[in-house]
Amino acid sequence: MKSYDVIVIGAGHNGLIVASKLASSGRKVLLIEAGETYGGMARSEVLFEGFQAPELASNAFGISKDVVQDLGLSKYEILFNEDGLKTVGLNTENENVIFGSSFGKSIEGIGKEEFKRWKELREKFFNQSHLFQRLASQIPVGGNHKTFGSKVNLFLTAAKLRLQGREQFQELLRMITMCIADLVEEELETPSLKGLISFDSTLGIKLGPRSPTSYLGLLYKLSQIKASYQEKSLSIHGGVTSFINALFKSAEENGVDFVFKGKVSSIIISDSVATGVKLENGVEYSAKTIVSSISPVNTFLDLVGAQNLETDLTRRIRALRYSGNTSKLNIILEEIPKLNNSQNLDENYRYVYAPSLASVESNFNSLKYNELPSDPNFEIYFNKISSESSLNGAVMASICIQNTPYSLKGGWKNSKEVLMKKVISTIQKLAPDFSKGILFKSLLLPHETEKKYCVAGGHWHHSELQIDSLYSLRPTFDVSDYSTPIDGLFICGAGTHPGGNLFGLSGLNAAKKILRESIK
Amino acid sequence: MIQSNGKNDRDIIFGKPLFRSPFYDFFAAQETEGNWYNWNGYKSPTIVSDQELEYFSIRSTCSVFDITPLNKYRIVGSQAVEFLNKLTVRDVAKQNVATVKYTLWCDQDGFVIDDGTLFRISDNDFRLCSQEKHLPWLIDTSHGFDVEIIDESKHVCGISLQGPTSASILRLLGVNGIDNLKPFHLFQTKISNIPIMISRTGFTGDLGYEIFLKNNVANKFIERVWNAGTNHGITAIGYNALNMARIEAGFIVANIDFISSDHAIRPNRCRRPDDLGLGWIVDLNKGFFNGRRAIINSKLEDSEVFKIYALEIDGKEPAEGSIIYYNKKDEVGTVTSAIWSPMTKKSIALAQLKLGSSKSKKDNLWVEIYSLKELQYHKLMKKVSIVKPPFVNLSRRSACPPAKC
Repeated sequence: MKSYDVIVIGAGHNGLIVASKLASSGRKVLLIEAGETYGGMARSEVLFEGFQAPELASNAFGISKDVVQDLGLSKYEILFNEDGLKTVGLNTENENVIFGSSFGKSIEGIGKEEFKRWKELREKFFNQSHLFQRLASQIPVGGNHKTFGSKVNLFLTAAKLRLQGREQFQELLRMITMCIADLVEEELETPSLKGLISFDSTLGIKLGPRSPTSYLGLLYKLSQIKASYQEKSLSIHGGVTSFINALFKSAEENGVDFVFKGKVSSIIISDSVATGVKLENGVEYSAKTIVSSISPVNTFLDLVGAQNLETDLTRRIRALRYSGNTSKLNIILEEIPKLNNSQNLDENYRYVYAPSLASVESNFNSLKYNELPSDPNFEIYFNKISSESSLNGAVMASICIQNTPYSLKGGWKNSKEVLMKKVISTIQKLAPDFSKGILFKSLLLPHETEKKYCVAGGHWHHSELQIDSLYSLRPTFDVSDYSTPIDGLFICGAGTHPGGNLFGLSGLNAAKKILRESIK
Repeated sequence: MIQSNGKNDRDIIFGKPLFRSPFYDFFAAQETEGNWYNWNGYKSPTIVSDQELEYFSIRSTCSVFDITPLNKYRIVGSQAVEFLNKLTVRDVAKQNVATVKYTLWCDQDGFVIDDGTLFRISDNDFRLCSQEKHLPWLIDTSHGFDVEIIDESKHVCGISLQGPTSASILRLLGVNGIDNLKPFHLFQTKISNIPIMISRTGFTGDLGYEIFLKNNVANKFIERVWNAGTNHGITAIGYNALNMARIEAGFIVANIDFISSDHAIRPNRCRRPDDLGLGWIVDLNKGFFNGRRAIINSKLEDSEVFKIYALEIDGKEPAEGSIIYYNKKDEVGTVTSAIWSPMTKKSIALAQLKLGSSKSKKDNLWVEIYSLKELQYHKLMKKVSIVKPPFVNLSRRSACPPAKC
């Protein structure tokens, strides 16, 4: 049996970060990945005629600055969009709004008064997101983790919020559990602007704009923007892949060993201490430290097994809400289509179809009852393909469809095509030539993501990012500090604090925790 | 009129409808006191006719007590042993087929949720009986095990025959093998073609048997037993008489002598097996089980906790609900169960006391009893001595074969 200091399960971005960081401290690290290559849900897949691109993660804002600096990733080429990402809020009346980078620093397509109100609101949003931003890079203070430093940090976070002034603080307390619908309706008038903000607050979360606490979804997103290179997002063209490649190279240079196509079947545990892992093909590796970057549901229920865990913990893990609610439609087009107003769809923009707040809410209502939305909301990125092959010059449309039920009433068998058609016909209304140029299309539903990417429920965040599953409640209060009741086993996936998109802080925090533990 | 099923199996005289056990009509026909209580949703007799007579039937003849209201869970499946090893604190792999073990189960903090008896009917077939309801806990614990949990509380009824003549009555009923049945063993047999499971167990510290059978044959069965026992002093008893016997035997009851961690609201009310004097049944070497880590950790820390003690009290006043003092002035705990014991001719009690590690405290304990005598309370301060339970240790309890009487 080969022996290592550390075994990391899952080569997603968090797994790569932990592996690289721990390897750089001189540990012998093995990274085991079930898939053929690294990247997890951000990995590249062959989509069409040899063309490779990330099948799920089309783009990401909020790569944590801390991660880039800590691992020294700037020496690798990460493709940032220097101008930031602009978003176009589409609607069928052709009254599109163009939402400037850094979440609407500037907006085209709305009146002067409306912009003034938005500017104030936006400032308030960003001020309040400070709460998350500050806590994101900390190991949550909770039952197991209550060092003096962590308590001081928590206190300072609260103090800083309070020091913004009495009124601001009261505003925060008033707003924090509100729904985004009430907040935007208090201040704004433009339907597509309200739709766009509601969409961004609830994408990937099982909440509608009128659900209480849906404002937290927005705060979370803004804090990610703040914790990253504010203005910059990853470039639409290969940005995600460049980031994942940089992580891989960093891990490789730090001496991490890799095993691909090695699905871990169980973590070997004796007397509540993790001593190694066993793969499905029977191979075993031993290590004193095992770090699982996969979903907490998979980690605890599949790899550790209920027979090694307290009933209280398995109860809480099984009670997590981890059914995915977003699907991904990838379409390859001959060329970039034109909009109704004969404007070219620009490949440097993100397009969001969420024409109004009511539309986002009605989409969510369908999700609630496991039905297909009648007029699905989605976001699109267009990505020009440059390759040697015949596809050169073609365009890939990455479409992320909100509110797709994990288990659809009546089953998915015939409805997959229906959902695809609905989305395409909506785009067709906006860009009449769209469907003519379609070379290839494929839709990945939550339950398909679950199977293909080995993540319970197919949830992008491993479990819901909601008020009851943040910070020291993520994934549950007794395992929120990345350690587990199994000695030597740690978790570091998106299911841990702070989770979310390609943030990367879950991995970095977990690595810090492990380093701290072993110094002890 | 015998109606045990259908519309009339719930009693609406009480504020809320209560279930009637299949033996309800039998007990209702005997009782003269109208003294019933709600045991686990069933209308059960507190006293049938005379508490003292009922108690002495346990100690000198044979008592019949209805144990139908107990929760009875059937645990079946290829991983039943593994499941029960995670659930309970004993090593179930070591429990032989056809035996019964007293056991406990804990939560993740090592606090006792409840105690109960585990019947191993065959290799992969168990019955767990408990005072409180635990179906959700059992089902949640069974996640990941090939095991099925069946709540058979409403389908299986039970009778407890306790007392020196109980074996003789069963002999008269033609139960072969009663002479060879050792304490905490069980077998399945038939009485007048009624299939029963019989075990040499009970809650009295006396010779006695518990019999489980299907509801639909309950009336026929109890009639046979009753007729067989006429010359052996068979007596139907209620809870009060049983309670006296169980205190003498030093048995504790969940939510009387300790609070189940399921019910406790105040965190310092929860108890670990050691605190209940039951540390000896916990098998820390059998591998993982619920609460193991916390129990191990609690042994390392030397914190003062409440523990259950058996007490003998000077004088003849029962000390129920009284406060125990150290040196007549510092409160150290409360009596949870107490009687004047007819067998030992002493006032005895079970109490939870916080004594810490100092041995000297144990020799200077006092109980303050408020004794009501003709409308006037007499405040008594009586000396307390800690003894080792049981208060009553009867050789006939474990004699095999049991005496013919």
